[in-house]
Amino acid sequence: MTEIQNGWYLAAWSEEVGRTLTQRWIAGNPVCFYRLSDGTPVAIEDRCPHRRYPLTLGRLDGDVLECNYHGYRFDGTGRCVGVAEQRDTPRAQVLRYRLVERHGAVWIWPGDPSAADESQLPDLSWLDSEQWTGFHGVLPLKARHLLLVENLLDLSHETFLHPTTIGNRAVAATPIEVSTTDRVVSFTRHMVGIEAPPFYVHSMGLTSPVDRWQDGDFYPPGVFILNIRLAPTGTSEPEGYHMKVLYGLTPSVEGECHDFYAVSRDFKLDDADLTQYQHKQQLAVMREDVDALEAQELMVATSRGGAPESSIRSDLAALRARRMLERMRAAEAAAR
Amino acid sequence: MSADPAAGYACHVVWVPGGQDLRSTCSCGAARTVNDPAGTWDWFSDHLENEHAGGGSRDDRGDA
Repeated sequence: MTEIQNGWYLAAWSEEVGRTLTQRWIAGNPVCFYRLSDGTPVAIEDRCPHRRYPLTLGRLDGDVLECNYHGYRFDGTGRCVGVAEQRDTPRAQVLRYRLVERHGAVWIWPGDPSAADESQLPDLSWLDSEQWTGFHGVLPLKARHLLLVENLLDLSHETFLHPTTIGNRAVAATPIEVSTTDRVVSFTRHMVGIEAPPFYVHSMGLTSPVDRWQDGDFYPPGVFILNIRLAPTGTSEPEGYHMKVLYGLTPSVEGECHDFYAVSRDFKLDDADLTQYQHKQQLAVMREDVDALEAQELMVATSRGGAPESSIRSDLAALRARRMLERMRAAEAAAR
Repeated sequence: MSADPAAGYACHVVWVPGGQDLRSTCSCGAARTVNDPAGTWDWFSDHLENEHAGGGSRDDRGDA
């Protein structure tokens, strides 16, 4: 399946892009990432226009990238500036992708650069705000993008996949409300007077009953933000403990994704032990999701149709997301 | 929640308390109650294509 090209995807955390040529596949495209000497991040197609050799196997000579096969040299815009010992410069240009670096994250628009609209990126200023603290990373996932989207937009799965950390019966038992526009699909799940799952008991020291809010926003094709509130039951905002989770859902090659995550909290800002605990738990939760989605991928990939698909009310946001993605994909197919 | 009516349209769907129905309301005032999630978006897609530009107010109960 052709991945959506005209949209922002999280390509890398800022510290992953440096003066070393680094390859990462994004939405079916091999991309060579590096920084110019002034710190500007660059993303170009990782194929030399001469004979398609990977440019990441080349080297940086100052701000000039030299292909290690026949010596083609390119500047930071992707323009060829010379070839080895030849006197003349061939007409050659490497495709350069639009990038935006904000709050410690590097975002890429793989499609038409003239269509790249930075206003479509949601506010992620909390990623490097002094009022928040947290951690981030990325995991490989051998499952198609849609399965990850549907996993995050139907969190009732927490009850079953994550019972020892963030899930309990209240998640699946609480109805969601869903809102949507042409750019975003959002859900709210407000659990009132419930038992706090173990992760939150340890993180916040809360005693049950608590109120737990899960408010999620999905910006197709690849950005999901979850706003979490835990508080003594019956209390109102701003009282309570808040967490924000960003997922960058970035297709890589066919049937695989980069599963980027960032988790931040607005309490116990200087508690390094808590950060370590939360990161370990986040990875345990994500490992459970990765295992489940990779098992699901095999079943989806080998399905010959079979029984008609069934959906329940907690699928509401995921079903909307699926249609938004289908519409984006169809628009790109029609434009080709 | 971030769904923004200024984007051109917005649809809000509520799981009606005490029942199995999903109540959908478009920013133009049109509303529909159905009892399955896929049917909710079938209605909304159809509404956007055929009714929404008129901005009329409808309140139908569907059987989807």
